[in-house]
Amino acid sequence: MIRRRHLGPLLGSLATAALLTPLQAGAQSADVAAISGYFAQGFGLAIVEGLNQAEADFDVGVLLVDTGNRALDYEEQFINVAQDDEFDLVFVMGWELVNALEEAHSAYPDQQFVFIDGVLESDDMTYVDFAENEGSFLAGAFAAMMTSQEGVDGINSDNVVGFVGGRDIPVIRNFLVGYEQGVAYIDPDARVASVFAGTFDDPARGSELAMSLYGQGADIVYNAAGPTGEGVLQASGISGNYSIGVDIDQCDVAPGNVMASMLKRVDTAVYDLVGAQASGEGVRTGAYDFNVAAGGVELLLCPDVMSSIPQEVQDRLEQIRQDIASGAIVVDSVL
Amino acid sequence: MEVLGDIFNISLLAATIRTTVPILLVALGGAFTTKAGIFNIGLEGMMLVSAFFAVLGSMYFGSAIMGVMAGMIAGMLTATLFALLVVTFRANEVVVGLAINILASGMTIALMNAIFGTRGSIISRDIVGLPPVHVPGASALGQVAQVFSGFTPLVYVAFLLVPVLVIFFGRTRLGLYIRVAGEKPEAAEALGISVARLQYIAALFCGALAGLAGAHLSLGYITMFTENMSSGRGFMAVAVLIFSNGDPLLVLAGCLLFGFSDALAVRLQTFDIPSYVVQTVPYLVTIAFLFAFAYRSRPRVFREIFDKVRPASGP
Repeated sequence: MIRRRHLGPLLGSLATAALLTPLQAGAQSADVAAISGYFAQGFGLAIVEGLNQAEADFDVGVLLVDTGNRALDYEEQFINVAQDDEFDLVFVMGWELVNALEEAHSAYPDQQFVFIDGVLESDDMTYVDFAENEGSFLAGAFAAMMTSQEGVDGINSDNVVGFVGGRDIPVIRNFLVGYEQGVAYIDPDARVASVFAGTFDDPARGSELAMSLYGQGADIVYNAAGPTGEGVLQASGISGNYSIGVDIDQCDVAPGNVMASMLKRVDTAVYDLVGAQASGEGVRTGAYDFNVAAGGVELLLCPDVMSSIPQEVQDRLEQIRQDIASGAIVVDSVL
Repeated sequence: MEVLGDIFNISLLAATIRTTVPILLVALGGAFTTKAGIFNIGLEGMMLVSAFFAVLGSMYFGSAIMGVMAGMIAGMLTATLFALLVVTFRANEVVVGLAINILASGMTIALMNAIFGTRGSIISRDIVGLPPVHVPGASALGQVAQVFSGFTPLVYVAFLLVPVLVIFFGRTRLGLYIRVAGEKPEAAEALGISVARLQYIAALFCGALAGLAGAHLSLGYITMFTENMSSGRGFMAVAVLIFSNGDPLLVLAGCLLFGFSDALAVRLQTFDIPSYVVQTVPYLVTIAFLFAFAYRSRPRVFREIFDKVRPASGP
């Protein structure tokens, strides 16, 4: 039963989880804390990586507070972190924490909170805001270039590409707007077939939505749908078509069928902000825009499909990236 | 008319079959408890627990079959807990059903964190999914083949279970006893049949089929587990059970209706109908059919629950 060994590395990851338990912050040049329920999951893992790198490079103390999924004591955890004025920066990730964050912010106005991946109402908090529209523009331009390729298995002659969103909410619309603009930039006649799952938690539905898009002639489907989107990626593997991942490197979900992933580089973002704090420069309030120019969003082409991606597509993509960074291409936003 | 052709085509039928099967499997499981006189709203939770253990079993043994077995066992254990509380300790079945659902959600998240050190979803090449079944000679039929070939095995199992259950409830002694236990428990006791035992048996069958539903979701439909991936399908099944009274053919009809409206909703979205409108279609169909079918033909258990809530009025 060699296969039984599979659980070995899995159980080993328990040890990794133990590393996430709180470390006592010492008297360094800066002390930062991060609060989230997602440190063990893709996007949260990247935060941990960024913080670990910052800890190694800048002589800072880092405390990770894993909220788990116990909705009842979020506020208490915020108070524990904020009450002693111990931390220079407190990173917060997860929309379910917003209420607790806002209460803690009004109770401890001097504590600097950094909310990751979104902008809230208050002006005197710091926000890490990723330009998902710009990253999605790259994804759209890439999809439009690939759908017109000839002689690639799984690419049909229809100039149709697909999009699956989670819920129909402004931030997801912002992905779609950038994507559509990117497609139109390459080929104004190409069609984007877009659907919304209505949920972020139903990969079976994501799979079904992707299947219906493939059935309508789309050969590449981009997802902005969390776990629902993981079903989209798997569907591309089953049907032999293609998909584009989002937020983190999702190439492994369906190797050979996930063509690219639109990355939000939260590790870079966190690292940069901690670095600014440690160097004495400080972190201002308001939104930090992690766009293409800042290296906050990028399109990762998956290694497994590199051989199917012509060099001129790669070159054109790089040119578009530079044009967005320089402002020669302005990407629309609905936010 | 070209638009209609784009919506109503052979791939819509294939999609209907795919969206129907998870609800059908769990609803057929619920048919056992409904027939035995238990109102089981814990189907959602049983399905979710099974989906998790199916993935775990598949990874541990490196076999999809073992994964399905693990899912069924997990479903049956959850159903045993349900029966223990409802049948033996006579707890309120709605409360216990709700508790099962909450337990399932929290437990799978906690176990995922403990075993895999992760949250959200489990995706791995080590999860062995159920392979698609290609019916021999199907490809000769071209497009039509996709409505009966290429599905994962539990799709076929689900549809085969319908006649099996018709025969079970109509023609076998155990099936008859379960129905008697649900419809006329006094008569069953008078005949010396233990209602409690039959309800346990029905709950175990229910757990086994809910287990198949969960395993189908995480190893057949797709090959992964995510938090709360049952996504309301168990509740759809409860709705089907209310208007079908657990009758297998009506269960099939109800599930096909939901599956069809779900598959249709997916297609309508690509025709510039706002997603919020389209996403209400399956639920509007649910409500319409509950009104149309349910009122007069409510099973005894539901009648009793309603009568407790709303005392009978009039002469």
